[in-house]
Amino acid sequence: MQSNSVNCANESSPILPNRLQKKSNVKHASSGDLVFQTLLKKKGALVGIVIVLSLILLAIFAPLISPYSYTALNAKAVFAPPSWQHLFGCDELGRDILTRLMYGGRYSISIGILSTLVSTLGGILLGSIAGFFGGKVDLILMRILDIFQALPSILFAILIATVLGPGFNMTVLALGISGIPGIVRTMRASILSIRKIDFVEAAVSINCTNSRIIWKYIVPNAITPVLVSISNNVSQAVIQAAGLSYIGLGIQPPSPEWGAMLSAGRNYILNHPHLVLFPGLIIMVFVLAFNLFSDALRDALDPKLKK
Amino acid sequence: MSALIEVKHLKKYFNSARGRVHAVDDVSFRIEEGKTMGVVGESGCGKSTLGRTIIHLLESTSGQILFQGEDVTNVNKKQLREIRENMQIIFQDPFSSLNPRMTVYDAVKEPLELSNRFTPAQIVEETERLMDLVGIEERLKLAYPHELDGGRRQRVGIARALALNPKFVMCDEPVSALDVSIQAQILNLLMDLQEKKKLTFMFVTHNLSVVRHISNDICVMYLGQLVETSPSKELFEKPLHPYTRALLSAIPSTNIHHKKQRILLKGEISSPINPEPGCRFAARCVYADENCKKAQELVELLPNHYVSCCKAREINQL
Amino acid sequence: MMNHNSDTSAFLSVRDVVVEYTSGDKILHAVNGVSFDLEKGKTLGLVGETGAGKTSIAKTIIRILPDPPAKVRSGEIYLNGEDILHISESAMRKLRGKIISMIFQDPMTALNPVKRVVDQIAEVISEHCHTSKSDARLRAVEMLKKVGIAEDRSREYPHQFSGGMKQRVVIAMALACNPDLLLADEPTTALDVTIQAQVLEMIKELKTENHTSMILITHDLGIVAENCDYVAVVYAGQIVEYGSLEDVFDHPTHPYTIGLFGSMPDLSTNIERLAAIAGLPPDPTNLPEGCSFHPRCCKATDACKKGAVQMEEISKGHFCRCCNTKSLEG
Repeated sequence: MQSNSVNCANESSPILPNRLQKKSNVKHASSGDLVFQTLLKKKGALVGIVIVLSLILLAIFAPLISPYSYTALNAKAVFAPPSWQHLFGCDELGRDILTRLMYGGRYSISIGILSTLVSTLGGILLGSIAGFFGGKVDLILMRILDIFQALPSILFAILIATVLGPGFNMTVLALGISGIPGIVRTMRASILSIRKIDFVEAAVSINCTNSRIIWKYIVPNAITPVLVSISNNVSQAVIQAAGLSYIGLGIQPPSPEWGAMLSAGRNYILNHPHLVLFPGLIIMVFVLAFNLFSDALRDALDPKLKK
Repeated sequence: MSALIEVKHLKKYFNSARGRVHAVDDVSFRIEEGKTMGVVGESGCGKSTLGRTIIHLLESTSGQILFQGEDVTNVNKKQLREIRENMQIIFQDPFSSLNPRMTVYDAVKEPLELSNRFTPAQIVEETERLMDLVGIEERLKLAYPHELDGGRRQRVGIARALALNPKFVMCDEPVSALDVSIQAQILNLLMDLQEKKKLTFMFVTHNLSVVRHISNDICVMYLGQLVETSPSKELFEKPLHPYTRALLSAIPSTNIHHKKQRILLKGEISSPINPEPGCRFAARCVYADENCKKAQELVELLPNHYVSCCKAREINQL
Repeated sequence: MMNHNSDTSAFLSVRDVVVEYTSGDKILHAVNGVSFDLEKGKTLGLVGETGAGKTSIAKTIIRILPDPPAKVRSGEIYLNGEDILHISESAMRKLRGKIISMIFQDPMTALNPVKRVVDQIAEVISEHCHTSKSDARLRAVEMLKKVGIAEDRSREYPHQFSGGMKQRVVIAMALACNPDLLLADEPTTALDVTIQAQVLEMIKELKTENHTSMILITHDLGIVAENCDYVAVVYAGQIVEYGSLEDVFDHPTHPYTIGLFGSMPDLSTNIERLAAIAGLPPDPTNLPEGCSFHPRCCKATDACKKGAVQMEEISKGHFCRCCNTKSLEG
């Protein structure tokens, strides 16, 4: 092979194409920033976030927004259908349903968030232990988890209700603990795959201590799939809390938890469907909004996951 | 010049469900200070495992590793730290060898921080000097790996490897994952750095054209065994082992006016699990006979040119 | 042969194909006006780096571009006089496998892991060649023998084969129905060099036997030298140099081509330092004005920055897309 013209060899440092010659104080986007930016561009996420935030704000500022009390009995308004004074109508004791739904958000949403917090923290901790230490520790932990998961969560909830008595704490604990196995598995699988990646070996080669490798290399990278599942778990927890209240185990009346309202209204469903309709709708809207948000989050995190 | 690295009868076996994998089987060679030893072979030959065992990322099964004349095969924790500062590695995949959560700056200064030898001011200065040395622009200091292209990421990897002034660097296919035009940039950089800092390289690759370019000496491996070793130029001009000859003949040539004589190998690579004693290439070799079933010895057939083949003398009429 | 006029009599004539990918609000200009011809029985090598657009060109010919995000904006592709870019999908399906076949880089993902190897080939044959199942089986075994896989291994599953063997199965599948055109996208990049030699030799034999035309995509100039009749150098979605093997290898003209040759370490030359091409390949969502290569070209002049650069015939059959060919030739 011959070359009949001068070779364009450049012995000094490479010339940069125009697109890379930006200003020297360019801001660099961490992957977290990028995710945030991508999320904001997605309509689904925006709708979801807006709805969820609105419900939370309604719950917090309920006393300021609603002219009614959520416990005030009003014999004249019993079973009142939706009207301008009572947008969602009144229940069997004459209480304004919309007001009760707003206050109910405090219970339902906080149960959703708190129980998810419990299962996430517990899951990350146990999953990390199983993933790092492997061997016997991993084996024992996973078998305990298998046994635990074989137990239906309803039975588990009944067990806790018997010990703690029904109510807010019991609900959070029961839902939180039963959510741990799922997160443990996700975290463990994530860690097992991250451990094999070159940058862990690179860290070993520069004399990184084990704890530094764990906290700086493995956990920050392994946690992404868990983050994706968190938002999903919140909406699941809200549904499960509603379910527990429905069967009488979770929040007890007169507390206006959404599921408890559903349960109380089921006897009147034929003649006064609005007692059941609106709590059901609110649960659906909240879960839908949260799912929209979590789907968008998963999409936004996906290209990062692939990398 | 004395040998910086010497490896004697090194073996690395793995236990797998199907038996013992003889990844590296009785390999011996020396690498002179300031030189580059290319280690070539195809998949499964054990070259990567060999490199990682030498720098103590893997524990050897038996044999000796000598660094500057001292036996460093079995070391305690403290000695291991010192060894790691002297023997570093550059990885093949620039995409997976950097922590996606760390900026370029963090990645390069980390080895300095971990060595506890530098003051904070010195760390800052050294980090900037290293980035300059490998050609990473200052404005990319706070960039994350996903914002950089393969070539730049590899430069970061190189800066990290050189942070503690190692004497020996194991380069594990450092340019295979890069685009062709970037490969040349990185190879030139490595050669410049070697000259500037008197580094000793072990360059593991399957790309023979690249290895010829960058190595002083070359080792050819097949299924965990060292089959031939000689100075770089001579290996290409006078390959003595049948496998080396087949390997070289397999490389497509860009010379369109000269048709190559191709030696096509028959059969497939045999398994490295519980292998039969003797030469592992015999199953595919046209010259093989009964003698090949015995353990082969590395014999110096030409000055500094060693071959592990009982038929080599005959085949090459030496 | 290369033709920019309306003579589309060659076996395969690609004319001014433009392909774009939409990613969010950005448009990726993958293929920017590619034209070339290919005669029956000949091999065209498409050379270039990752992202140059070579795979997109091949996928456009066999029409397997994912739509969305890819869109063929304009152009025609004539196969035996028929514009296959604009026929219906069902008509195209009849061509795939029988007239046009494609093999990809990674043999592991091209094979169905739950089907026996011989069954996979037999399926292709009975689908496209309209033979009976038993005839297809016989022919499949024959094809496997041709690619060096013995009959007693034909009933195994892909995971029991090595990389080289898997790729040979893929090739057997692609050539089973004697297609007229074979598109090979880096078929040996994932293989060891000794296996690569075996596989390329085998492709050559089968090709010659059946007078198959081939478009071979690779970044390895050695492979081009030993397998191709014509060479097209691709950069930023355009062909920047085109000619016969001798034209391009003995008289490389475009600065990128020269840069490519210079930056590859070669066993036959003894250079101390590799002549690296400065800079990076361009961002396909933001191609430079004028000639796409000018930011990296040491011979760039002001003329290079303005307006599209056309292909010029610098000698018979040898084309180059550069403003400065006159000064380069000198």
